[in-house]
Amino acid sequence: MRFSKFLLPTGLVIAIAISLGLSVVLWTNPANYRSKEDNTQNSQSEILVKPKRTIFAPTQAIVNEKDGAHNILINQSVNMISEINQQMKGYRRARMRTIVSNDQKKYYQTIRRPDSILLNYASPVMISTVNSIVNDRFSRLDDHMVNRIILPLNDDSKIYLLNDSNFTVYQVNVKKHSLNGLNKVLKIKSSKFPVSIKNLNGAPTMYVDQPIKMQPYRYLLDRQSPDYFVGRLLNDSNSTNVSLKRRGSELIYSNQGTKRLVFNTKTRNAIYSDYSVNDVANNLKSMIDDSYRQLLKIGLPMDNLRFYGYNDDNSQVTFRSFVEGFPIFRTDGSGEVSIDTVNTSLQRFKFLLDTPQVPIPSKSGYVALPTTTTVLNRLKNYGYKANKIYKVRLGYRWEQSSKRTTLINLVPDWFVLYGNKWHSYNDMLNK
Amino acid sequence: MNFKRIELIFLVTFIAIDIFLFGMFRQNMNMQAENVSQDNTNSTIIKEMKNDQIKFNKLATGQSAAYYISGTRTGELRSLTGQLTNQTPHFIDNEIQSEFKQPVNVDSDRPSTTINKLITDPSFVVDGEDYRYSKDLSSKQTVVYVQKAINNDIYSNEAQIKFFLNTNNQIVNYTQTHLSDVKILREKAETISEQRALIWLYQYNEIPNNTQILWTKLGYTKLITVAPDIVFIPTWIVAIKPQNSSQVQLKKINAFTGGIIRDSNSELQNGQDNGGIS
Repeated sequence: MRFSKFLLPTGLVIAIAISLGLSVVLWTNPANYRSKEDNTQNSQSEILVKPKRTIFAPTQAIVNEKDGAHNILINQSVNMISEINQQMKGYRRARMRTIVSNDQKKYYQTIRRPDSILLNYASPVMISTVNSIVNDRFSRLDDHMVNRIILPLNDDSKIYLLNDSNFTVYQVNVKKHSLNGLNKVLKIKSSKFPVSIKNLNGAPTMYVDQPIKMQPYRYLLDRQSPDYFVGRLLNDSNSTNVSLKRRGSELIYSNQGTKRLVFNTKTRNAIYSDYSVNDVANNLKSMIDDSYRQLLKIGLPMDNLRFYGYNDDNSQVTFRSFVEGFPIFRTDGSGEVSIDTVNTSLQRFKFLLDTPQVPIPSKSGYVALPTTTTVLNRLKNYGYKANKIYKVRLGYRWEQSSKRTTLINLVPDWFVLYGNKWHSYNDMLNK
Repeated sequence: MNFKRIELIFLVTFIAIDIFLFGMFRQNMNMQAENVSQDNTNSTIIKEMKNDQIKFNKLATGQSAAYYISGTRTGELRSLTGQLTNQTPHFIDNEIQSEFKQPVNVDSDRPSTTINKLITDPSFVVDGEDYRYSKDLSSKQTVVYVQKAINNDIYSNEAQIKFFLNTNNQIVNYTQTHLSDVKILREKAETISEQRALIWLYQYNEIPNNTQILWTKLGYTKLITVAPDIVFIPTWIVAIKPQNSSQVQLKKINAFTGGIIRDSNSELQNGQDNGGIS
């Protein structure tokens, strides 16, 4: 009798507690809201979507040997960077602290740290971008700008993130992890270019110390029709009629409202302008996130595309195609895709209807290229101003005998960021 | 109404609310799981396929990696025909066509066991160690060997040996094509999974209803010829057999881009001229 006296109130209290608990869980769970966005994913299934970690991956891997030498890792049959990134997924309990700030000497010491792998980004990204490579293990770290990552080969509990612009090194302490995987990747037979890491106009630059030989390639272009992009970019639910005007070699599509798509049939360039209101904040993180979204929307083949730069002045994000670890530069120095957020009511995408897709055996022999120092000296002798040379990089020149052919030659060359534009070394000397 | 009764009513009400909330909670969990992976859409399509009476075994969802490769047709075959004995080889259009003077006896049930032993003998066929028996392409009268390449086999008329058998289980003649200098053209890239390949094929309306999927294979097929080289791409080859027909069709899907490769599927069927697949 006494037992049943307590049974009822206790049961009631428990029932109320459970209902409160479940209510809280249900309200705080975002799954409810997410399911509605699901539908937008389906239209993407026609193209193979590459994850953010591939598009926003470092573009160069360098081994800092035990004896202090530095070698760029190049492999024709394996993408070394993605192999290394594969090994970066198991970090646990990441904690970060700043160990060097505004100290150029110590900064260079970290970059040159013997017995480590140095991963270079083509252009700064955020720690939240690196986070996509490390399987979300860095999600709790403060978000800073980063240019480089150092993976020590003799220390299994530290990773370093480096920012060139203020010579800052962030040390990430992680739980001890095995380095066997990384060492195994380094055992894959690869060719190595010796480099030294020196300062060029205030930024660490990889100087190639010996003349090098690079293989030229031939590629077959994958051609998309304008219709494909019209369908993807101009068809939205509000407006159904798309108008087409012809002006010279230009085809101008417009959805009678806020969107316009212009194709140049001669150069096979496309420019898309969206005059609707966007909420992209003017900072690197939102530009990176938004540009990835827009890249998916455009629907170009993504397998070789990599993030190649963000320009603060005009809020422009650029992507380039890569071949065997080196970027492709078109005759005017541009890359494959650029996404400009001009202001909150205008976004402009520039892209190319053709993407290099299928490699064709090339019989031409290796091309010899001079050392970085030779390149810089020769440019100075030709009258170019040393303080306007910001970056010097190896890459491939896009050569097409006529706009009609779908076969292009990719010729190895040096590329120089002179002023605010990329030029091929060959062109600069022939001007 | 006494206090106890009120308590009882409250208890019952709250238990009912709990059950309702728990139900919602469970539903939420499922939704989350579906959101995380694309499994949801895939599994509904797989269900749809089953509803359309398309029969297949469990499909692998793992991705693998492959290359763009190239091979060259050279006169190497011709120069090595001198080693062959007990046969009269002719070299026509990069192909050896050879007839055995004395037909070669093979195992009646599994001809490949006999041929596997013979094939490395340079007086039997040229470069025999480059080939592998293909059960899928072979039939009772034709035993097909495909050329091995990097990680996968080449499924193309440019790289095959076909042994033709008579009714007494003897090889009477064979044809051989060979690619030399097989090399990697571009760094390793991920291929789509078997499941994805089949789903896309289904979505392209390439798999009719009432069809059985006999086998799927990841191999290299010809993309283009840039004389004298031939470029090959990794391809999912899917053999389907409509239930009311004995004809086996081969469907091909580009394992890098997921694009369908049309109209060239006749190329592979030659080996199956003499009926279905054993």
